[in-house]
Amino acid sequence: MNLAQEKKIVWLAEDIDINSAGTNPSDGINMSKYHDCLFVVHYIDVGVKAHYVRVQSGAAEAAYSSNIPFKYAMGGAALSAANADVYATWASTTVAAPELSVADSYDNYTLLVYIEASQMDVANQEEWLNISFDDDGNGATGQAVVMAILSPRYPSGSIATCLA
Amino acid sequence: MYLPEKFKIVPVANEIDISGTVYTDSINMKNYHRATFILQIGTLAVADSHIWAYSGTADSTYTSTLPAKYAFGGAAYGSASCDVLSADSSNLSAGVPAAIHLTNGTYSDFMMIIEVESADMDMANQEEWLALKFINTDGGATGNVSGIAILEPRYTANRSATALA
Repeated sequence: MNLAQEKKIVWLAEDIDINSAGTNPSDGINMSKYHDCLFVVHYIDVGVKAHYVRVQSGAAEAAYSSNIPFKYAMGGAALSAANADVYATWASTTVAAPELSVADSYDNYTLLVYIEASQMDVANQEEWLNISFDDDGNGATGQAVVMAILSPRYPSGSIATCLA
Repeated sequence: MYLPEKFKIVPVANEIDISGTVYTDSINMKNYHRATFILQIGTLAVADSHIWAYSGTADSTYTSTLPAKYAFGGAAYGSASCDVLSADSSNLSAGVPAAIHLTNGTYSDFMMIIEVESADMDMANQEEWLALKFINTDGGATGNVSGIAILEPRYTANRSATALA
Protein backbone atom coordinates (compact mmCIF):
# COMPACT_ATOMS: atom_id res chain seq x y z
CA MET A 1 0.00 0.00 0.00
CA ASN A 2 1.55 3.28 -1.02
CA LEU A 3 1.30 6.54 0.90
CA ALA A 4 -1.60 7.90 -1.15
CA GLN A 5 -3.66 4.89 -0.07
CA GLU A 6 -2.81 5.31 3.62
CA LYS A 7 -3.38 9.07 3.66
CA LYS A 8 -5.71 11.41 1.83
CA ILE A 9 -3.70 13.92 -0.20
CA VAL A 10 -5.53 17.08 -1.16
CA TRP A 11 -4.37 19.87 -3.41
CA LEU A 12 -5.99 22.70 -1.54
CA ALA A 13 -4.73 26.00 -2.86
CA GLU A 14 -2.81 26.97 -5.95
CA ASP A 15 -1.08 30.28 -5.48
CA ILE A 16 -3.29 32.09 -2.96
CA ASP A 17 -2.48 35.79 -3.35
CA ILE A 18 -2.00 37.07 0.20
CA ASN A 19 -2.47 40.64 -0.97
CA SER A 20 -5.68 40.17 -2.94
CA ALA A 21 -7.98 40.79 0.04
CA GLY A 22 -7.86 41.21 3.79
CA THR A 23 -8.65 37.52 4.27
CA ASN A 24 -7.72 34.81 1.79
CA PRO A 25 -9.10 31.38 2.70
CA SER A 26 -8.28 28.11 0.99
CA ASP A 27 -10.81 25.63 -0.32
CA GLY A 28 -12.69 23.91 2.53
CA ILE A 29 -12.16 20.27 3.54
CA ASN A 30 -14.95 18.14 4.96
CA MET A 31 -13.25 16.48 7.94
CA SER A 32 -16.12 14.17 8.89
CA LYS A 33 -14.16 11.10 7.78
CA TYR A 34 -10.69 12.14 8.96
CA HIS A 35 -8.82 12.15 12.25
CA ASP A 36 -6.41 15.00 11.58
CA CYS A 37 -5.04 17.33 8.95
CA LEU A 38 -1.51 18.44 8.17
CA PHE A 39 -1.30 21.52 5.95
CA VAL A 40 1.98 21.85 4.04
CA VAL A 41 2.42 25.46 2.94
CA HIS A 42 5.00 26.80 0.45
CA TYR A 43 5.55 30.54 0.54
CA ILE A 44 6.48 32.38 -2.64
CA ASP A 45 7.60 36.01 -2.93
CA VAL A 46 6.39 37.03 0.52
CA GLY A 47 7.43 40.53 1.45
CA VAL A 48 6.69 44.03 2.73
CA LYS A 49 4.80 43.07 5.90
CA ALA A 50 3.92 40.09 8.07
CA HIS A 51 0.69 38.24 7.36
CA TYR A 52 -1.48 36.07 9.57
CA VAL A 53 -2.36 32.39 9.27
CA ARG A 54 -5.74 31.35 10.63
CA VAL A 55 -7.43 27.96 10.71
CA GLN A 56 -11.21 28.00 10.80
CA SER A 57 -14.13 25.62 10.88
CA GLY A 58 -17.68 26.07 9.64
CA ALA A 59 -20.90 24.18 9.09
CA ALA A 60 -20.59 24.44 5.30
CA GLU A 61 -18.01 24.95 2.59
CA ALA A 62 -16.87 28.60 2.64
CA ALA A 63 -18.24 29.14 6.17
CA TYR A 64 -15.61 30.44 8.57
CA SER A 65 -17.32 30.45 11.95
CA SER A 66 -14.71 29.43 14.52
CA ASN A 67 -11.00 30.14 14.78
CA ILE A 68 -9.13 27.03 15.91
CA PRO A 69 -5.77 27.05 17.71
CA PHE A 70 -3.21 24.91 15.88
CA LYS A 71 0.28 23.47 16.09
CA TYR A 72 2.89 24.69 13.65
CA ALA A 73 6.52 24.32 12.65
CA MET A 74 8.52 26.38 10.15
CA GLY A 75 11.26 24.94 7.94
CA GLY A 76 14.86 25.77 8.83
CA ALA A 77 15.83 27.47 5.56
CA ALA A 78 14.48 28.60 2.23
CA LEU A 79 13.75 26.03 -0.47
CA SER A 80 16.81 24.53 -2.20
CA ALA A 81 19.02 25.04 0.85
CA ALA A 82 19.97 22.21 3.18
CA ASN A 83 17.72 22.37 6.26
CA ALA A 84 14.73 23.55 4.22
CA ASP A 85 13.34 20.19 5.33
CA VAL A 86 14.36 20.39 9.00
CA TYR A 87 11.51 21.94 10.91
CA ALA A 88 11.48 23.85 14.18
CA THR A 89 10.04 22.12 17.21
CA TRP A 90 6.26 22.26 17.32
CA ALA A 91 4.70 25.38 18.76
CA SER A 92 1.03 26.23 19.27
CA THR A 93 -1.27 29.17 18.89
CA THR A 94 -3.81 29.70 21.64
CA VAL A 95 -7.55 30.20 22.06
CA ALA A 96 -6.86 33.82 23.01
CA ALA A 97 -4.59 34.37 20.00
CA PRO A 98 -5.43 31.65 17.46
CA GLU A 99 -3.57 33.27 14.55
CA LEU A 100 0.10 32.88 13.65
CA SER A 101 2.02 35.95 12.50
CA VAL A 102 4.45 35.02 9.69
CA ALA A 103 7.21 37.56 9.09
CA ASP A 104 8.00 38.72 5.56
CA SER A 105 11.49 37.20 5.96
CA TYR A 106 10.10 33.68 5.36
CA ASP A 107 10.12 33.91 1.56
CA ASN A 108 10.41 30.43 0.00
CA TYR A 109 10.06 28.67 3.36
CA THR A 110 7.78 25.72 4.12
CA LEU A 111 5.32 25.89 7.02
CA LEU A 112 3.61 22.88 8.60
CA VAL A 113 0.24 23.40 10.33
CA TYR A 114 -1.40 20.55 12.23
CA ILE A 115 -5.02 20.23 13.43
CA GLU A 116 -6.92 17.42 15.14
CA ALA A 117 -10.51 17.01 13.93
CA SER A 118 -11.51 16.70 17.59
CA GLN A 119 -10.61 20.39 18.03
CA MET A 120 -13.33 21.42 15.60
CA ASP A 121 -16.78 22.40 16.86
CA VAL A 122 -18.37 19.19 15.68
CA ALA A 123 -21.22 19.56 18.20
CA ASN A 124 -22.39 22.43 16.01
CA GLN A 125 -21.77 20.51 12.79
CA GLU A 126 -18.68 22.56 11.98
CA GLU A 127 -17.05 19.82 9.97
CA TRP A 128 -15.53 22.00 7.22
CA LEU A 129 -11.93 23.10 7.72
CA ASN A 130 -9.88 25.71 5.92
CA ILE A 131 -6.66 27.64 6.31
CA SER A 132 -6.52 31.35 5.56
CA PHE A 133 -3.63 33.70 4.74
CA ASP A 134 -4.68 37.16 5.82
CA ASP A 135 -2.86 40.43 5.38
CA ASP A 136 -5.51 42.16 7.51
CA GLY A 137 -5.04 45.26 5.38
CA ASN A 138 -1.37 45.59 6.29
CA GLY A 139 -0.03 45.34 2.74
CA ALA A 140 1.66 41.94 3.00
CA THR A 141 2.54 40.48 -0.39
CA GLY A 142 3.27 37.01 -1.75
CA GLN A 143 1.55 33.73 -2.47
CA ALA A 144 0.87 30.50 -0.63
CA VAL A 145 0.70 27.05 -2.20
CA VAL A 146 -1.10 24.60 0.10
CA MET A 147 -1.40 20.84 0.25
CA ALA A 148 -3.29 18.96 2.94
CA ILE A 149 -2.56 15.43 4.13
CA LEU A 150 -5.40 13.81 6.06
CA SER A 151 -5.50 10.66 8.21
CA PRO A 152 -8.63 8.76 7.12
CA ARG A 153 -10.83 6.94 9.57
CA TYR A 154 -11.28 4.32 6.84
CA PRO A 155 -8.39 4.03 4.36
CA SER A 156 -9.09 2.63 0.91
CA GLY A 157 -7.51 2.29 -2.49
CA SER A 158 -9.36 5.33 -3.79
CA ILE A 159 -10.91 7.53 -1.11
CA ALA A 160 -13.91 9.68 -2.06
CA THR A 161 -13.50 13.42 -2.33
CA CYS A 162 -13.54 15.60 0.78
CA LEU A 163 -14.10 18.79 -1.23
CA ALA A 164 -17.21 20.48 -2.59
CA MET B 1 3.16 11.12 16.80
CA TYR B 2 2.54 13.63 14.05
CA LEU B 3 2.92 12.83 10.38
CA PRO B 4 6.22 14.79 10.01
CA GLU B 5 7.68 12.60 12.78
CA LYS B 6 6.77 9.41 10.91
CA PHE B 7 7.71 10.70 7.48
CA LYS B 8 10.18 13.26 6.15
CA ILE B 9 8.51 16.17 4.36
CA VAL B 10 10.85 17.82 1.88
CA PRO B 11 10.06 20.88 -0.24
CA VAL B 12 11.55 20.22 -3.68
CA ALA B 13 9.94 22.62 -6.15
CA ASN B 14 8.45 26.04 -5.85
CA GLU B 15 6.78 27.09 -9.09
CA ILE B 16 9.56 25.82 -11.32
CA ASP B 17 9.08 26.90 -14.93
CA ILE B 18 8.77 23.81 -17.14
CA SER B 19 9.17 25.65 -20.44
CA GLY B 20 12.77 24.40 -20.47
CA THR B 21 14.60 21.43 -18.97
CA VAL B 22 14.38 21.78 -15.20
CA TYR B 23 14.83 19.59 -12.14
CA THR B 24 13.46 19.41 -8.65
CA ASP B 25 15.90 19.76 -5.80
CA SER B 26 17.89 16.53 -5.27
CA ILE B 27 17.20 14.32 -2.27
CA ASN B 28 19.72 12.02 -0.61
CA MET B 29 17.77 8.77 -0.25
CA LYS B 30 20.30 6.71 1.72
CA ASN B 31 18.23 6.96 4.90
CA TYR B 32 14.86 6.42 3.24
CA HIS B 33 12.89 3.51 1.80
CA ARG B 34 10.91 5.44 -0.80
CA ALA B 35 9.84 8.89 -1.94
CA THR B 36 6.33 10.04 -2.78
CA PHE B 37 6.34 13.27 -4.75
CA ILE B 38 3.16 15.35 -4.54
CA LEU B 39 3.16 17.77 -7.44
CA GLN B 40 0.85 20.68 -8.07
CA ILE B 41 0.76 21.20 -11.81
CA GLY B 42 -0.03 24.77 -12.84
CA THR B 43 -1.78 25.95 -15.95
CA LEU B 44 -0.26 24.12 -18.95
CA ALA B 45 -0.35 25.11 -22.59
CA VAL B 46 1.01 24.59 -26.09
CA ALA B 47 2.83 21.26 -25.70
CA ASP B 48 3.43 18.39 -23.30
CA SER B 49 6.24 18.25 -20.79
CA HIS B 50 7.88 14.90 -20.10
CA ILE B 51 8.85 13.73 -16.62
CA TRP B 52 11.68 11.40 -15.63
CA ALA B 53 12.98 10.23 -12.27
CA TYR B 54 16.77 10.21 -12.05
CA SER B 55 19.43 9.02 -9.63
CA GLY B 56 23.00 10.24 -9.37
CA THR B 57 26.04 10.05 -7.14
CA ALA B 58 25.81 13.68 -6.02
CA ASP B 59 23.41 16.56 -5.62
CA SER B 60 22.35 17.85 -9.08
CA THR B 61 23.77 14.77 -10.82
CA TYR B 62 21.33 12.93 -13.09
CA THR B 63 22.83 9.65 -14.30
CA SER B 64 20.25 6.83 -14.36
CA THR B 65 16.55 6.89 -15.22
CA LEU B 66 14.37 5.12 -12.67
CA PRO B 67 11.11 3.16 -12.55
CA ALA B 68 8.26 5.13 -10.99
CA LYS B 69 4.58 4.71 -10.25
CA TYR B 70 2.32 7.67 -10.80
CA ALA B 71 -1.31 8.81 -10.55
CA PHE B 72 -3.16 11.99 -11.45
CA GLY B 73 -5.99 13.66 -9.55
CA GLY B 74 -9.50 13.23 -10.93
CA ALA B 75 -10.20 16.86 -11.81
CA ALA B 76 -8.66 20.30 -11.95
CA TYR B 77 -7.95 22.16 -8.74
CA GLY B 78 -11.05 23.76 -7.19
CA SER B 79 -13.38 20.90 -8.17
CA ALA B 80 -14.63 18.02 -6.09
CA SER B 81 -12.64 14.91 -7.09
CA CYS B 82 -9.43 16.86 -7.69
CA ASP B 83 -8.30 14.85 -4.65
CA VAL B 84 -9.47 11.45 -5.97
CA LEU B 85 -6.53 9.77 -7.64
CA SER B 86 -6.61 7.57 -10.70
CA ALA B 87 -5.33 4.00 -10.42
CA ASP B 88 -1.54 3.75 -10.26
CA SER B 89 0.34 3.61 -13.55
CA SER B 90 3.93 2.61 -14.15
CA ASN B 91 6.47 4.37 -16.33
CA LEU B 92 8.01 1.05 -17.36
CA SER B 93 7.82 0.14 -21.01
CA ALA B 94 9.16 -3.34 -21.82
CA GLY B 95 10.89 -3.23 -18.45
CA VAL B 96 12.68 0.05 -19.16
CA PRO B 97 11.77 3.45 -17.65
CA ALA B 98 10.02 5.74 -20.12
CA ALA B 99 8.96 9.38 -19.93
CA ILE B 100 5.71 10.22 -18.16
CA HIS B 101 3.73 12.53 -20.44
CA LEU B 102 2.30 15.58 -18.73
CA THR B 103 -0.40 16.13 -21.34
CA ASN B 104 -1.08 19.85 -21.53
CA GLY B 105 -4.59 19.47 -22.90
CA THR B 106 -5.62 17.18 -20.04
CA TYR B 107 -3.70 17.88 -16.85
CA SER B 108 -3.71 21.64 -16.54
CA ASP B 109 -4.14 22.53 -12.82
CA PHE B 110 -4.14 18.88 -11.73
CA MET B 111 -2.39 17.19 -8.81
CA MET B 112 0.03 14.38 -9.55
CA ILE B 113 1.68 11.75 -7.36
CA ILE B 114 4.95 10.02 -8.31
CA GLU B 115 6.43 7.28 -6.15
CA VAL B 116 10.02 6.01 -6.43
CA GLU B 117 11.50 3.10 -4.47
CA SER B 118 15.06 3.48 -3.16
CA ALA B 119 15.58 -0.18 -4.04
CA ASP B 120 15.31 0.80 -7.72
CA MET B 121 18.17 3.30 -7.44
CA ASP B 122 21.65 2.22 -8.50
CA MET B 123 23.01 2.03 -4.96
CA ALA B 124 25.82 -0.32 -6.06
CA ASN B 125 27.28 2.71 -7.81
CA GLN B 126 26.47 5.08 -4.95
CA GLU B 127 23.66 6.73 -6.87
CA GLU B 128 21.83 7.79 -3.73
CA TRP B 129 20.57 11.20 -4.93
CA LEU B 130 17.07 11.39 -6.42
CA ALA B 131 15.44 14.14 -8.51
CA LEU B 132 12.66 14.58 -11.03
CA LYS B 133 13.43 16.01 -14.46
CA PHE B 134 10.93 17.98 -16.57
CA ILE B 135 11.94 18.18 -20.19
CA ASN B 136 10.31 20.11 -22.98
CA THR B 137 10.83 17.34 -25.55
CA ASP B 138 7.97 18.40 -27.80
CA GLY B 139 8.94 22.09 -27.75
CA GLY B 140 6.80 24.98 -26.56
CA ALA B 141 5.50 23.58 -23.27
CA THR B 142 4.51 26.26 -20.78
CA GLY B 143 3.47 26.12 -17.14
CA ASN B 144 4.96 25.60 -13.72
CA VAL B 145 5.12 22.97 -11.02
CA SER B 146 5.33 23.08 -7.23
CA GLY B 147 5.85 20.06 -5.06
CA ILE B 148 7.00 18.27 -1.97
CA ALA B 149 8.43 14.82 -1.41
CA ILE B 150 7.32 12.65 1.47
CA LEU B 151 10.03 10.17 2.42
CA GLU B 152 9.63 6.98 4.43
CA PRO B 153 12.59 6.97 6.85
CA ARG B 154 14.55 3.89 7.77
CA TYR B 155 14.93 5.39 11.26
CA THR B 156 12.23 7.78 12.41
CA ALA B 157 12.96 10.78 14.62
CA ASN B 158 11.02 13.74 15.88
CA ARG B 159 13.35 16.07 13.94
CA SER B 160 15.29 14.12 11.33
CA ALA B 161 18.40 15.55 9.68
CA THR B 162 18.22 17.20 6.29
CA ALA B 163 18.00 15.11 3.11
CA LEU B 164 19.10 18.06 0.96
CA ALA B 165 22.42 19.65 0.09
